[in-house]
Amino acid sequence: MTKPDRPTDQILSVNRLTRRFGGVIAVNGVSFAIDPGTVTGLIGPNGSGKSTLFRLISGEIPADSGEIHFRGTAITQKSASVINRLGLSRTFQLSRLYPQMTATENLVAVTRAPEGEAFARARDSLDFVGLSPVADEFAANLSYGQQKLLEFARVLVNDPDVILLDEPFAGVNPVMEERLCTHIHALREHGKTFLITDHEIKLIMALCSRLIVLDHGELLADGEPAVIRADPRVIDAYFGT
Amino acid sequence: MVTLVQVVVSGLLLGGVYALLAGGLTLIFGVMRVINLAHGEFLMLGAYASFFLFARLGLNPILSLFLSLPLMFGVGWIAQRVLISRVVRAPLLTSLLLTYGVSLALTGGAQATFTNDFRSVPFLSGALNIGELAFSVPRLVACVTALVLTGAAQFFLSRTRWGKALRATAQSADVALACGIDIDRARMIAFGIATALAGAAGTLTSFLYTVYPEMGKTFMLKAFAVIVLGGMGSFPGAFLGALVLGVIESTASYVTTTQIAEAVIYITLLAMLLLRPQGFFGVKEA
Amino acid sequence: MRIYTGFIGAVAVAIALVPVFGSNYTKTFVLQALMSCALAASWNLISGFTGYVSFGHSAFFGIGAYATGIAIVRGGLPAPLAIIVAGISSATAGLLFGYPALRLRGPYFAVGMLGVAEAIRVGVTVAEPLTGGGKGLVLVPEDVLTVSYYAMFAVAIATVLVTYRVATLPVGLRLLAIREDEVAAELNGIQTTRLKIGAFAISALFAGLAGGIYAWQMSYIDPGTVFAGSLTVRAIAMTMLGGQGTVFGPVIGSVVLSGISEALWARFPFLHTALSGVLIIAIVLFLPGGITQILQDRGWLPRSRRL
Repeated sequence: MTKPDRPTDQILSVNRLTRRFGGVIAVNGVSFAIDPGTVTGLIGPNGSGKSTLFRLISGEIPADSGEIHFRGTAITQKSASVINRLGLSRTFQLSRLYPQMTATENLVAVTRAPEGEAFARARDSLDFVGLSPVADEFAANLSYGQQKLLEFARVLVNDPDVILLDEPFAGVNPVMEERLCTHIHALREHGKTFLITDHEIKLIMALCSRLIVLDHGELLADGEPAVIRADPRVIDAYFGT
Repeated sequence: MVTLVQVVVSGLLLGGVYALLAGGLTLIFGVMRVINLAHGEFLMLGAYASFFLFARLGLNPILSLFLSLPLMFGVGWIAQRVLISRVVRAPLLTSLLLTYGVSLALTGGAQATFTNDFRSVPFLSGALNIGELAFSVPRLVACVTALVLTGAAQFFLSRTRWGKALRATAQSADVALACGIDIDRARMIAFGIATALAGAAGTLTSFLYTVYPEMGKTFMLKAFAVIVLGGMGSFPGAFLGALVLGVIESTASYVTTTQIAEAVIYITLLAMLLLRPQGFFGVKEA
Repeated sequence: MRIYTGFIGAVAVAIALVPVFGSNYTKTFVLQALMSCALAASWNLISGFTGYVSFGHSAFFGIGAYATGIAIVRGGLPAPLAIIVAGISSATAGLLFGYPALRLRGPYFAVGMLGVAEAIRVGVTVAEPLTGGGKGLVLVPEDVLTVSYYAMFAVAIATVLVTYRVATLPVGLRLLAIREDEVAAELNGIQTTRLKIGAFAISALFAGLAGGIYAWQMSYIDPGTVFAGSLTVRAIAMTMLGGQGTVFGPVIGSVVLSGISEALWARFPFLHTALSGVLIIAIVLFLPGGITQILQDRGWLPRSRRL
């Protein structure tokens, strides 16, 4: 075990993270820390930097400055695949499934189970989300809702500790919403940590025990949903001119 | 000292021609995000056009440009219309393989039609003496012509309406479309211009080097090296990269054999790819 | 499906029996076809599966050929050892070039490898004392047609077998994931660099072995022939015709194209290049999955990674 660089009570922490794109500062000195076994929501108006933050944490793009710590280890400079293998995984806003591979294959390609068990593990995951009927369909041929479920199954297949969900409810019908929420709750009971971003504010407020609000790349507010809901700055950010 | 200056100048002159070729390649990439592996073959076609216009009609290469430029523009336009347009939105891999196929078809077609014999156009020779320096006349003429054409292309891109349309499409095809720009036509124009420039480069090489069906490959690699040096998608970058490459080649040829000089170019290409793939002025891929 | 595998099995048996019943002409022809098959199948391992298209595949064939040539002529090694040297050399080259080259994106990698092949060809031409330069290298002429035939057969089979293993194991799907969406694959924890380099090295290994056997059998090699772009063209055309990223695609492609080549185009060598080009264009535009795709679309073949 590598010696942690920070106290490990908080499973994911972000410290003064900054990232620019050309002249635009997408994420500006954002800091927060997340406790294990919680569901945290990341909200903010369009362009507030939520997706960029996800991309930074998952290692898809490098930060300009600041630090990210996962389970006490600094992951700021690490590559995406290393971060994923450490136990932090992420879904995509526009699902990035492997289109020319079947649902099962999409999971087998990703699973780190030993060879003999790979297909079995994939089938179990499909079962868990109720996609067994389409196990052998090409991902490109699945319906939107099925693709979302497959993304969800894929992000879980290696039993990660922290899961970043990027707009999991976008364009999803109420029945599917229920299902996803049930899964999230169940997984949280098992000790998993979630960081979710979405535009369905009501849903997020009901689902999450804590909300982090971004605006123009900066941390605007951080606290319980009831408090956030009443915060005038948040209201202003969403509805103000 | 004199020799060094001469070698460098010689390289710069050569660079002018490379700029012509590479400019077209980078234009295509900029506007369509397609790497046209057949670009060298368009140069080859231009070279043959120059040869035949010279051999059959007695037109000197510079004059024959008046005929071959529109001709090559048309060839490019059609190529874009019929083939390339189908893969513009496809992954890069697809357009790579497609243009690879086109380059093979053109090379093979040329071999079958013209045979593998070397041809060349005996136009101009000798050297111009300025002080202690001697400049090869063919290279001078070629370079000047190349600069004129490159300048014209640059003028078109920056000052005319369609030029701006091309640049808009290069920045973002969707936005350009939303602004009412006919991006299909813009692409055809871009490809046409690029092909015309390549053909012109071919015309120039027809009296600088020998003409043979497989000549496209070497020039393609050099054009690619230029673009990697200068940055994909940047016209001015291609120009600078071309000058640099010309000087490298000239210096290497002077110091060692031509063969090793070629290898030096490939090594430069590879080194650049490894150390700084976006070149000096590169445009980030969309 | 059974007809398909039966067909392939029959072809394999037929090939095995050619030296017994066939003329020298047939042997040479089939040997060529087997070599093409090995080249196509090895190209497929890297380019078909990971989507990193290499236009410089001939580099490894040539390295293998010259490694064997030099080992025999300058090193005095017996042929079998020399061919093993070929394999080691080309695999090592694959690792050496793969590590930097595979960090490049699609087109840069493709043309970069072309540059590598050209640079190596020039290098070999220049290193006359070692390689014989442009004049070529003459090995000890022996009549080893039959033995080299079976050796090439073995290499071709080995390449296809390795492809089969790769395709049916999760690692094959990981390679395909790289082709489908490399960034997503990275984010899913797939160790893309390691996999790419591994596939590249294995691809180089088999191409090099084929080159070594070629050198031994021909008893004469020169840079222009063993580093010829046409070798790469053939490998690409055959794989695309049969179906990239499949197990038997390169086999089918090489059988079909070798046959057509021999029947028609051998008389018109230049048409060969042009027609290969047209073929590639047609496949890219109309039939990206090759013959395997036609068979699967028509329902004559199941959609299985085994194929």
